[in-house]
Amino acid sequence: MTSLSKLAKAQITRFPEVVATVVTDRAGTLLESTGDVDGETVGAVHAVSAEALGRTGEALGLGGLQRASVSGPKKVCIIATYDEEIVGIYVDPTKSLGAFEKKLEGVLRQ
Amino acid sequence: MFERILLGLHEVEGVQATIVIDGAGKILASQAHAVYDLPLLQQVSRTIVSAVDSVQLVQEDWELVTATYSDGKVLIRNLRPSRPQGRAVVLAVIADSRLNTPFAGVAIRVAASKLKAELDSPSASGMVAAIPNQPPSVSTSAYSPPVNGRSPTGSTRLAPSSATPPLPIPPPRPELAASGLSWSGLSKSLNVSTSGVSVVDDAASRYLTACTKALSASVGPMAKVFVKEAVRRVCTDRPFSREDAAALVAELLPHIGSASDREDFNRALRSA
Repeated sequence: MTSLSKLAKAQITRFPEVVATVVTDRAGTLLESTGDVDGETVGAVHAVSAEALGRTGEALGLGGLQRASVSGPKKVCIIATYDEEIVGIYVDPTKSLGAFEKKLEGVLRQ
Repeated sequence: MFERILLGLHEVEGVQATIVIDGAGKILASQAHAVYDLPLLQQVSRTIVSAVDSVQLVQEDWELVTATYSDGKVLIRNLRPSRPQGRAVVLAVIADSRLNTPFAGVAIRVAASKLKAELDSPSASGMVAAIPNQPPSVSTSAYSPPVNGRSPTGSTRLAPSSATPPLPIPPPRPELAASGLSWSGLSKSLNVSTSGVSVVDDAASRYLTACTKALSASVGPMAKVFVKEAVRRVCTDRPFSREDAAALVAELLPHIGSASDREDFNRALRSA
């Protein structure tokens, strides 16, 4: 099990706001998923989005991508990078995203 | 009208550029500091559309994408025209690390509702339906650090003239040095991708960091990009060393508009 997979299982999924997680490598290959989500499909999407947003930031001189949040009325997803892996975390849309992002930052920087 | 709406977003501290992009990656309107020239904004528009196209696959009703980088943020708002024949349109806001995200969120919602109204108006239908990549009439100004939270911007309007071909994406550059050392920027961060320049030792890396910090006082977050480009011009295929400092400074000075800023830049590097 990769380090991010262990982190996801041990800590991230335990947050009450989290409804699903998907861990992939940079190529989008599924490594781990929890919750009611099609891990393979969404994992590939996370990898593609992260790569495109990463190129955006580089072109603009903003540095490396740390995370991206995608929010809508029914779904909120945070895509975060950790070493060579990418985690997509689906969060209850009724909960505060900002507060959760702070908690997540603490976990990922341990 | 688009430009006036986008100008309102620049009242928020930290906002560096705003772009309205259609589903094909074409720029409908933009307001940006001069360091963000049209080719760069066009390149970025295409990568933004690429990202939101993939997001759309799994989240059709997405409203906002917020990408957080080590030195800034990009916020992408789905404008979603209500007309049946309307194409997907997004508003992208590029900001540095000073951005107050909650404030920006409010300003973006206000701008988005105004832009949606403009897009839904009959006069906008021709603009959204068929926009060639046209050389705009760009008014540019040298980058000035913001005063009282406001910064000068240049606006881009699509002028009715001949279409220009799409810009090629530059090929990836070699990253590894003979020394195995590379410099990729100011801060250590969890990078999705890095495109560093090669350096011979830690002293060279520290010098590049000092150069970027000194240059950013004049040109903002683009400093890192300018430094990397300058190193590649000075050193081509060999790693950067401290001996290349004078040549590097000569490459960077033209980016600085005012004589006093150039003096400050030189002074900052004397102690580096």
